[in-house]
Amino acid sequence: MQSEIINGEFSRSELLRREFLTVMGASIAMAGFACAKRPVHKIIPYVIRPEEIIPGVPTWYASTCRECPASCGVLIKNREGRPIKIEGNPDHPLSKGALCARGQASVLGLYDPDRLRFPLLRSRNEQQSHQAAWPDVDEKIQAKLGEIANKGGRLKILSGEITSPSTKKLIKEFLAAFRNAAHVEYEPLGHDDITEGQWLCYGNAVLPAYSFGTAQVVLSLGADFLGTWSDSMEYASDWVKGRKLDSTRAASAHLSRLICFEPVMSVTGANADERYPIRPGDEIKVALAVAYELVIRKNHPLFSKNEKLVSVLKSYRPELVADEIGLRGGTGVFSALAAELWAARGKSLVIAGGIQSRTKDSLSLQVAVNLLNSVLSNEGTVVDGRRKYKRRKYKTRSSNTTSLINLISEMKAGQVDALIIYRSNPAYTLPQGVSGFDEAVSRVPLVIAVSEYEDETAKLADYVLPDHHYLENWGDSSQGNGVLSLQQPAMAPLHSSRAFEDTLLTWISGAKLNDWHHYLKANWQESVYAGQKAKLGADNSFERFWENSLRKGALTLGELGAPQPRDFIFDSIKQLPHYSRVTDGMALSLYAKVSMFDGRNANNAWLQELPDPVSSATWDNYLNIAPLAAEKLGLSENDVMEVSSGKVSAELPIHIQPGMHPNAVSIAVGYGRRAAGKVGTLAGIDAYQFMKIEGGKLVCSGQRVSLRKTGRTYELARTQWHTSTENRPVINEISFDEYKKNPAAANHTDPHLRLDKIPTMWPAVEYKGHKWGMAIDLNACIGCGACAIGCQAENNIPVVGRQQVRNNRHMHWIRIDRYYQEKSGVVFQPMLCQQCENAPCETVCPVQATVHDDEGINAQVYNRCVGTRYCQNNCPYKVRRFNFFDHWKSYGEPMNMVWNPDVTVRTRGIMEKCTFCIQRIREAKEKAKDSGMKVKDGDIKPACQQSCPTGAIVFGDLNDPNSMVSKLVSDARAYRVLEMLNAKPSISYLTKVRNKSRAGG
Amino acid sequence: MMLMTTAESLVITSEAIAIQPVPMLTGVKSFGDINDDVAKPLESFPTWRWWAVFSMAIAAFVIGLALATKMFTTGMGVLGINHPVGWGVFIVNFVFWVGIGHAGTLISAILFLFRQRWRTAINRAAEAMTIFAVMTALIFPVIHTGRPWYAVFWLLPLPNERGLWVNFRSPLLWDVFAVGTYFTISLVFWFVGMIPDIASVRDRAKHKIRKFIYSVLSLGWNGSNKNWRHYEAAYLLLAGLSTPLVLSVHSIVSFDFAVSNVPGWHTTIFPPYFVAGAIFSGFAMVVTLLVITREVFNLKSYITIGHLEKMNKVIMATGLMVGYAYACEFFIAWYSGNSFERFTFINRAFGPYWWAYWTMATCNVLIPQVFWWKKARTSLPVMFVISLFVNVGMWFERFVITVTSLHRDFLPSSWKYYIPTIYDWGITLGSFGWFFIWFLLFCRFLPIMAMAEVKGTMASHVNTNGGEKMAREAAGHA
Amino acid sequence: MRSAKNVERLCGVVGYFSDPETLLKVMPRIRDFNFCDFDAYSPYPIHGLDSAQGLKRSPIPYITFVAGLTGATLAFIFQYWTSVVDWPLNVGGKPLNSWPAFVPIIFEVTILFAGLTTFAAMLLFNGLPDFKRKRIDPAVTRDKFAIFISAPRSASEEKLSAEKGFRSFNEKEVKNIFSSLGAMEIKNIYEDGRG
Repeated sequence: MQSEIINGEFSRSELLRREFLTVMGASIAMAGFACAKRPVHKIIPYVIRPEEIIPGVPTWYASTCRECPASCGVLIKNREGRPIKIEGNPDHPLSKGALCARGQASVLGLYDPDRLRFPLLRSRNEQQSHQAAWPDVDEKIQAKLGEIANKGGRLKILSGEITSPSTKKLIKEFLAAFRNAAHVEYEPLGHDDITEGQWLCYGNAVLPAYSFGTAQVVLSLGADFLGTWSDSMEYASDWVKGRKLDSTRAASAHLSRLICFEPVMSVTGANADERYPIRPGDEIKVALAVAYELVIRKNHPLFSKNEKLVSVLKSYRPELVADEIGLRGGTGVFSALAAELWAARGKSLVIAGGIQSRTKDSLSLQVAVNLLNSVLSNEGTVVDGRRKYKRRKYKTRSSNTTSLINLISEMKAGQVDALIIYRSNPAYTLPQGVSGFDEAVSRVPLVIAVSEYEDETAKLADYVLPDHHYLENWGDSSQGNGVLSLQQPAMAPLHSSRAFEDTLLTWISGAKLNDWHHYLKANWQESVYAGQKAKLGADNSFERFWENSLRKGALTLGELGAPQPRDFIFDSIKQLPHYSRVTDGMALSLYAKVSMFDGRNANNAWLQELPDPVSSATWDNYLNIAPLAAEKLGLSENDVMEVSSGKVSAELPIHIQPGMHPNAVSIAVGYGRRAAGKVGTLAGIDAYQFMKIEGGKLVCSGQRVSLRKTGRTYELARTQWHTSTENRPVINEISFDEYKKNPAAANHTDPHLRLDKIPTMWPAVEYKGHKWGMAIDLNACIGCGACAIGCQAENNIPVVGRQQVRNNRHMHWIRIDRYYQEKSGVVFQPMLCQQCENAPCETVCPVQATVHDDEGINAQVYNRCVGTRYCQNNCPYKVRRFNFFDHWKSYGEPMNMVWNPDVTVRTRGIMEKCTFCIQRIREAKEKAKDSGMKVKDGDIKPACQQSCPTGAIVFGDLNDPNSMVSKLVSDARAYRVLEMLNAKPSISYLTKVRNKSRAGG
Repeated sequence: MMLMTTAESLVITSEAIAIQPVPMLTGVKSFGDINDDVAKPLESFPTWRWWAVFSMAIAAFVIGLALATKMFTTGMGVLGINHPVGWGVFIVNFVFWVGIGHAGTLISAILFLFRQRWRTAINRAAEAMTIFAVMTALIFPVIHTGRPWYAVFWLLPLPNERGLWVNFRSPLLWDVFAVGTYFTISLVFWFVGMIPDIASVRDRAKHKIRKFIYSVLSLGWNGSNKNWRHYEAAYLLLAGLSTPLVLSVHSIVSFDFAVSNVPGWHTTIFPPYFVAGAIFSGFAMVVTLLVITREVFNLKSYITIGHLEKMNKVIMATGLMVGYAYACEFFIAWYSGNSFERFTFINRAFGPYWWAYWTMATCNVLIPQVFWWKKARTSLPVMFVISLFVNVGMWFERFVITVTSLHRDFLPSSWKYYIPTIYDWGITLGSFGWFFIWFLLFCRFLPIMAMAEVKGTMASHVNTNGGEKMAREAAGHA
Repeated sequence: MRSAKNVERLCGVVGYFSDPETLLKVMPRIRDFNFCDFDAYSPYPIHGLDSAQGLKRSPIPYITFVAGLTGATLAFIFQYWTSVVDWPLNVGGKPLNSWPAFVPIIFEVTILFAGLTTFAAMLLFNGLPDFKRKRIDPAVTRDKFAIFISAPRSASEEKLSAEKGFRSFNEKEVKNIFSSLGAMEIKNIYEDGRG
């Protein structure tokens, strides 16, 4: 066995690497669907054109996003053999075309200049790394592994959560060679608490599927399911089904309700109909107070019989809880909530989770949530705890984090001979001192890091092996509910990186298949194809099946019938603590931003500059604190505070955030990377260090912190500095009751701004052919910011950097304006060029650099613009963006490959703005012309509409009465921003309707 | 002997003048003396005072030039402008300098039409100021653009290589025509006025080169009555044309704001308001300059306290007009019931830029009230200081209009504060340098007073005061 | 000492008078002598001298007026043609011929044309620029008031003026006239303009 491993296998593997490409090429030539295989640097015209490449015509590949475990389906747009844009795959059964900002931005990550370009040999004592070649790296490692295998040494693989069944299988096979081996998965934003809670209450540790679409009432206890929690994009597109309204049937309309209790002002909370700020740790109290109402007050037939439960619940008298939290609306809130949930039982949903509420009681919280769902008999209807292909299945109760913590102690004890770290960065995502990970790793004789970057963890390794970006690699992913996705490379690797799987195959001796692509196919042939064969039609060859699967990008393995309710295991009740009142003091909760997530994308400038939906801040994290508390402590925006909890302390600026509990503060994780790359390193501070380890679990929130004013200030780079609409006709927001009475109701009061008929001295211009327009449903927009990144990728919008954002010079063509409304709460408004019919910008341009085309688009002629900025001054919507510098210069090699060849890269000194993705309109019209047909409604989707997970943005032809957009524009809710200016915008917004309960709150 | 008698006749003349409300000349001056005094700075090596001021001007200009160069090479980003505030200090300077120019034309054209004889001593300098002020103003619309290298000719009414024309609906294009015309006509007017004086400088020139240059400049003027006839007709016409022109120019400059839809800009009061302001600031600048000039070139007996007092009266009057305009804006904002308008004006006075607003109000409305006292009107130090205040105040008026309206317009989500950078200030300083370089060169090389006109006015007094008799007697002596 | 000059041609005779008033009184008398070519010289324009000298009103105003009208018309035609005919574009939803927006430029161009034409006309009528033209005396741009009666440049010219019925130029006679009118100084002006 030893010999098999040691004998110079590398030469073969190297050869195979080359073969791998040729084989791929062959398959392409044959089927013409897979990726473009050529050195991407070659520019057109080609000497010999590869037949799958037509210059100027994009090729699309279905694949799977690997930026987080959600693994959404994506379509990769290739131009001249290089990916230039990632879009959601509408045919994907789960994500259904939704793709979050991070997924959209991943294409920039592919071209990140800081990616590893070759294997590195690190010497631990000198803290230096030297370039190495694959062959000798393999040789050295295989030798060492051989020894370990022989003496029955202990090999551990530590990786991020792996959703690919084939990779898992491969890892298992690899570890088989070692007697004492284990694979530990760890996700900093994972869902151990949920799976564990499921295990306790229902006996199987799964992450259940929730159908937000059918839930009439959703009670979220800190779970940011529209932002960063689990499969948020899937949830969002599902949830919004219950939020769409058709004013023709206003009287009988239904609108689902979302009630949030959360310690952090999250995207979800911002979209709630009712939101209550609480302290981290109060979630369980709220849950049990509601349970009290449901079980004890309502005397639930089944659950009120259980004394243990009753005795626990008795202690959670709503009065006490309401009083302790200082709830607006007092006890009434709980009774009303309980009544509402009860009324909607079987059609309501209670969820909790996410690091902002991962206190030491997080497991109890999950039990309480499961209890509520069972009490409300949502279990088995809205909550589906049964999965054919379980995404996470544990034989035991031991969770990921627990096993990681055990691993660390083993390493400390010197019980680990070799550690392979794959796509995981515990040196950053674990609390420094507490975990002692670094020190533990130093006790391991052989440490191999497989990563795209030489990150914090890679810096602890002896060997750093560059991994493919997911756009360069094969793979698959299983997402539960019997859905399998495939991942295929969209280009040959940019650098001399190698897929982790190929590496393993290289090291496995006598592997039957010796490259990852074949391994994957083979695995599918036996594990998937076998099961599907029957269902396939006449031509049921595997190759055919494989090609089709690749084309679609995903497939569903048979229909699951209706879910069956699982019985609640009452034994789990003992997890529930008795009520104890918490004394005052500041409690900290960590949370994740839609842009930074767990910090893995910290080096992605697009994401760093994506404004946080709630705070509108970019490039930094900060301490969120309630206005009340700030006032009490005499703090003002940008004051730098010293936050300390135990031995840990950090200094960071504060952001005064409405909607925070006066005794709660919060910091976003994902910042303060020590080795992210040129962009991400030391942006913000590292909040993971505030995590604690208690009882073999990571505690992220609820720890008491003390604040000290340092007297220094640090200006946050925010994109919005004023948060009220000043009662201007910008946002129209009404309550559901008002809506049912009069869907056209308006909430702003100034009669001067409510002109029904605007007098004008000129005749209106006629648009004969198309008349492009857009409708944006404020009810559907959740403010996630995916559109902003989609637009950025499509339209070559540059990044300007922290300082220029401070100077209000960010370049986004579509921005999400966020307003705090006096009574109701937060409203998001995507603001982009309104393509006004009477465009004020056009009249004032002295050189006709901006004029109207005959389809109603307010065109911008970059090469004619001299940059007087008069148009910007005269634009009431302030959507025009001026190039103050040559921002494109910051896109060095190979980043410049991300530019979209269909859109001009603008130089300094000129104005730019949204043009409804005119290049896409062109493309569609030319396609239609070629096929001799007219452009159909829905053929043209601007990047923003395409990337919107909730379908809030609809583009189309206003001259076509049957187009989607025409229907929406004629909806009673449709209004135009600042209509009285008579600029006649081509974009209509649909009134935001909030489902306030009569009880108020 | 001949000269002597003329002089005598003038001795009496000047006495006669002494009983005029405003002394045109103080002390005994003959026609010849005027030439001698006015031509002196042209014929003698400049004084150390001149060199001091000149080198300061050069220094200021060089600073501005250096910063501007950096701006051209890196980008507009070095300035303070940001996303709601697309126009900043540069446009403020443009309006400020154009405004300064107006006083010159007013004095030379309008006062000429009204036959205000006291203008003759100062109109040449004032017109020169106009020319140079407009030359300074013209810099800013060009360098405030993102791509000035294109703007300089794409803004002209020419088709581009694809036959695309300019947009005649844009007030910026109106500016091109208005300011362009204004500059051309003012230049012509100025030059025409100077021809006879250049001729007299030529006729007294000793040095060959000097003689040659002035001969060319004077176009060979010989003072014959047949020439005077056409000359006077033309001069009168030019004055008549300049008058509506000067009013139109600042009206059109005000359209840059008034024609847009920005609350605080979009108002019909702007044209008269801007013109009044222009005259106001222009006169202040004239006073500043003349107080210096009469010292440096020792023309106290020509540019008399009487002149300056009249100017100060105008300053006070126009100051009141401007003050009225300020008040009127608030009234309109309230009376119109337009909530955007209301907000804008409350925001002006009490918003983040309150300091700019109150600086403006104090300098332009409060301080000039001092001129109600004759003592103040006639005291050089007082009027000098006040004229400076007015200059500052009027600069801030444009700042208030431009910046405070923009920084909080329609969509609250885009509101942002604007802070000028060192580049804004440095280039502004440079523009002052540029202006003073030209003005000082003018004082050095061209007659800074309209000699022919001064003589004319003197003589006309001779007529009105029986100087004729005296003259005959004087002749009798011969 | 004169003999040296006899070869030089006499341009004419100039008479100096004490002040503008005298000039005004004397001028009509000179005019009545009906010389072919005579003119007054002064450091500044003297009102009433034109009529005294029998000069008609300057025609420049009419020219200015016409020029102004031309400017206005051209300005409108140009703007109309560029924005309606040559390349019609939908700018801000306004009609192609949004004439109110054209007014400011029409006005400015009117002034520009009028002004420049006035200047040009002035130069034209005064025969400027002319650097060769003979000058009576540098002092007239300083403080001298003079009347100059010029001699015919050639025999042919003399003949012509005689036909036109002008009084023929005679040095002696002219000098007498000047002294009788109380000129304070009388000089012959020769070709080189030396007094």
